[in-house]
Amino acid sequence: MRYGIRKGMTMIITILMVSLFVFIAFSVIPGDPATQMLGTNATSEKVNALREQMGLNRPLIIRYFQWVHDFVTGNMGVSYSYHMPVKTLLAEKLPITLTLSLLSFLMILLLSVPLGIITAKYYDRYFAKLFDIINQLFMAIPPFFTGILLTYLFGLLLRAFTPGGFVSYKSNFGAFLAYMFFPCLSIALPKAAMSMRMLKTSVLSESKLDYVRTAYSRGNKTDQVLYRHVLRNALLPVITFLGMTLADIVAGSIVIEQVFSIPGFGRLLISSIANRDYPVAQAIIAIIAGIVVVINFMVDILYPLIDPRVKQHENQ
Amino acid sequence: MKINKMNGKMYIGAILLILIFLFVLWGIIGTPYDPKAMDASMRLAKASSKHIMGCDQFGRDIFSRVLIGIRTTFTIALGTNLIGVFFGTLIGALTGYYGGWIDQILMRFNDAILSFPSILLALVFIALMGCGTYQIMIAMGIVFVPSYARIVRSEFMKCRNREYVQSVRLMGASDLRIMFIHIFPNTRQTLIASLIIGFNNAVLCEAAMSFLGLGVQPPDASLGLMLSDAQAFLFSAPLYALTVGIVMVLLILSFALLSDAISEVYHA
Amino acid sequence: MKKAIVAVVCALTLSVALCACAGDKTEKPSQIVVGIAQDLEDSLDPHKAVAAGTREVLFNVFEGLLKPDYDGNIVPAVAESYEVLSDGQDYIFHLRNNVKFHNGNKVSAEDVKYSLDKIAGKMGDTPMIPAYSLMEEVTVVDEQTVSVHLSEANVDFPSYLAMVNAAIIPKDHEAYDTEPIGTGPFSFVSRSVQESIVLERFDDYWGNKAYLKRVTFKIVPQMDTVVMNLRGGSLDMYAHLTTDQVAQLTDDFTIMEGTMNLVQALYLNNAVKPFDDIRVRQALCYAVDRKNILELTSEGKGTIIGSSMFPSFSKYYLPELSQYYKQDIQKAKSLLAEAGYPGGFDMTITVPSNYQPHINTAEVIVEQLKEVGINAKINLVEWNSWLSDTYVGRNYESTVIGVDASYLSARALLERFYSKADDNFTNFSDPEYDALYEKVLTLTDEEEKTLCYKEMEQILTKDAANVYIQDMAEFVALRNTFEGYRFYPLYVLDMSRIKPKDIQ
Repeated sequence: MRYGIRKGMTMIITILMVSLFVFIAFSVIPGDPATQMLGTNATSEKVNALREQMGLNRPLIIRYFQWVHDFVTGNMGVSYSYHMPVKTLLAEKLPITLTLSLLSFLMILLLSVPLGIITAKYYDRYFAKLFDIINQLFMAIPPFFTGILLTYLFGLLLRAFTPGGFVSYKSNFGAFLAYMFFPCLSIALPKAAMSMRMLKTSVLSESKLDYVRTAYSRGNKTDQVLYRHVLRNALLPVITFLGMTLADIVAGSIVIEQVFSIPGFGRLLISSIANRDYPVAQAIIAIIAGIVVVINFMVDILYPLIDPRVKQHENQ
Repeated sequence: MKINKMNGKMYIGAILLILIFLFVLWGIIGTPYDPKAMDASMRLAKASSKHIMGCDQFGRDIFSRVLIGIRTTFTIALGTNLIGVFFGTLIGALTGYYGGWIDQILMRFNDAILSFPSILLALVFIALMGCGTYQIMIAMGIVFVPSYARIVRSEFMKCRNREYVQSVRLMGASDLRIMFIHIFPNTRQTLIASLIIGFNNAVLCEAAMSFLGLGVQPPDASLGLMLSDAQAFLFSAPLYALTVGIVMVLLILSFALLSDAISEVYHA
Repeated sequence: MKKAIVAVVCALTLSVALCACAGDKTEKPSQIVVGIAQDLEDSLDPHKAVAAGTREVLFNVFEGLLKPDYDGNIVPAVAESYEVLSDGQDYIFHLRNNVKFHNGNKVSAEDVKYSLDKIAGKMGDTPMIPAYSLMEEVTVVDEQTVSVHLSEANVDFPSYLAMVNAAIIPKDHEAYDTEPIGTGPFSFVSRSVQESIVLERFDDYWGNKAYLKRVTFKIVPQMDTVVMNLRGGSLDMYAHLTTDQVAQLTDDFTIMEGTMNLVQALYLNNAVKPFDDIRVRQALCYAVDRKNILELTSEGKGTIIGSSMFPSFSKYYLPELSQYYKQDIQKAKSLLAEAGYPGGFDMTITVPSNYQPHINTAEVIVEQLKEVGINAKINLVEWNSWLSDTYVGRNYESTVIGVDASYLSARALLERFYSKADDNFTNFSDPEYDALYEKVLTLTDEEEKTLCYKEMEQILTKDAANVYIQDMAEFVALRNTFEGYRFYPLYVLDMSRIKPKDIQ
């Protein structure tokens, strides 16, 4: 319990620090949104009037407290570019990025766990060694290059999908999921390679331990020992890794959305940074940061449930 | 058998890295063509004996730009890690050596930053400082400080109560002297290993930021920026994206292999 | 373990199967998907729409009292007719009695008064163009009549009212920014940021009703995917294609060639050295080979221009000015020598990085200037910094950009060279030009005005204010199952005349 409370406190402190950081960062950014909004019609007079109207002339500190208060009450301001509440804007985009992240995570699991076990079991076969090399290669390919390769191969050569032909989840959910397949694969491949390798190493080193040898010597079959004893312990480091990966996936989606023209959080974030649409950029970063912190917290909390040794160690 | 395999990784990684270094040198000495010279008649020209990787959308020689791009990427990775190591060592040494409440606070802060995906954090700094080669170096450098700080701190904590440190202290050596003359050399091994990983991460992060258009700005070249340019011509000039991407993969691969090999040596 | 493998295989095949579904397109000719390059990031409120790309979409939803037609004439819209009183300061608009808003309410004189007051800045907004604030008083005369009193006579007033920015909107509506309601042939249904904007035919439209039931504007931010989307069937139409893209399209599309209605030029900052010297500017005009630019950048497509006017404004356009400067390296060199730069000089051309055609033009210019010894360098900048530093801040040497006309009058293109004009980003200053501009404001006779504007164009050419290059060619691709697209002299996409082709 004490462990949970301490982790919870850390989480709250982290969130506070992050929010302050995000707010200050976006308040000292050079570049004037008022000029930007007016475009080729900007004159100094108009710019000033607009700044006043948008509350940009008030002191920083007042704007921070206002922002925190509003954010907590669900009022995230109004987008400078789209003139609609940031909340509405993000509510519409959240399912896209969430789907992208969760599907990627699922793919990592589906790819890495079975392949990790197989390559560990047959570690001395040639195909397992081949997998090692492929693995090493996949880990070195940045997701956005994977995305470009997939676009070229499946989009342009094989015509399996239309690059840039994103379909909204509202109009056709099936087509939406189908379009998400390759983006998710791009995110998943390098991470799956890492987690597969980790699982393999972990299974192999666990197999060498005494209790496993004992189990074998008592005449248990290989598969039984593998699933009953080895895997449970071997999965521990992999689970931690996967927990950490979740945060990386959310961040990785920012880049992948750009590659596949997916109008989710990432694209919105990049365009809002370029357009100096502070409220949107601020809200997105704050939300992603929040999600990441909460995921980390959950991994921390779940971990001792799986492996009691962690809790003991932490409490010492 | 095991040793051979390990050495194999080391060899391949080292050979790749040396090759890349040669390319960087080539880029410094001079490129076959002016990497910024545009030639309208050579737009998206295919690879030929004159332009071994072809030309980009402005008719610029891609190979020359790759040379410059590797150099830029390398410089940024180097700068990033120097910033990270310098401030990381400073913070890690002080907190690890003295401990106490400052250590507690700084490490909380450190952990908070560390739990963050580095791209997101770098994005915030980029939004703050604007895009550009130096900006991205500084932004990523700041992002890298905490991880180095943590590594150095744990090494210092291990060493501060060792016997040899105690004896030097009894001899009246100042804290600063103990920290940087006596303890710091012991962190070398760990630091080098994490530097290689740091380089790897910096290359990846820079590429991603430039790919998003928030890093290196045209007409400068970096691998990420070129890849994002190349994506627009995937249909008409697929080799443009492929060559640039493969160079990037080789760069990352060389660091990954080296860091693998080193960690295997330590654990062996 | 075997189960796990099966699961992976299932997941993969399922997704591939789903992919196959994505390719199938619904061939209902009652709706069309049109690609646009940018989202409407300024506002859906027509009175705040800044970007040409926004106005082009909103043109289908909104109308002013007057509106433009294909030939650049100003025709009545919400108003049936109007009169100008002799002093030129008072306008009387007679409203149609069958115009309805998309919410079903009839357009009343009160709505018109409200809209005009809002446009004029009386509700706190800044008027989109300064001329709107001329509307000193708008009076409701009766149910069908509104009179407008201007603080000073302005003969271009009707053309301002024909802009989308002068749209008539309902007075008791609040959410202009998010739920636009107008009187145009299409009504707004929904928008999804960075995805699409959906419009639907307005069946109570007063004029010729639209043919198509539904129009979806889909945002395709990456130019390279436009062709794939057209070919792949997820787009039916795209309005601003380049020659390269057209070449990649198949027979499924009708390609129409038009002009972009932009004045593309190497704009020079007339206030900085060496461009403050007319001889240097003329030398640049002689050094550039416009035909060569067109050949290199667009396979020769486009119209060469010689002043700040494009051909579709036929009333004001002087075709002979495009021949005023022909490439003449010797003359350019001797002019440079006269001005004190016999060996040329270094200059920077600032170009926004998101407009590829302008970058291409700038590149060719750099090459051509080398011949006269001028060493030009291209400085690519973000659109935002171009706006703030170059356009508003006027801190630049030269830039390549296209300037469009936001309303149907020569003034839209010529006002910015008046030395006191707020948007005179080239710092051009010529007393004769200023005198003509001030004179044209007082004229009421259309003939005289046109003559005056033409004289101003000539001054811009003779003074070599800028190196005017071309009105760029643009191509519209429309799927063969549709027909009826027509060009306007303004940057608009009129979807109401597009209809499904009768298939025999």
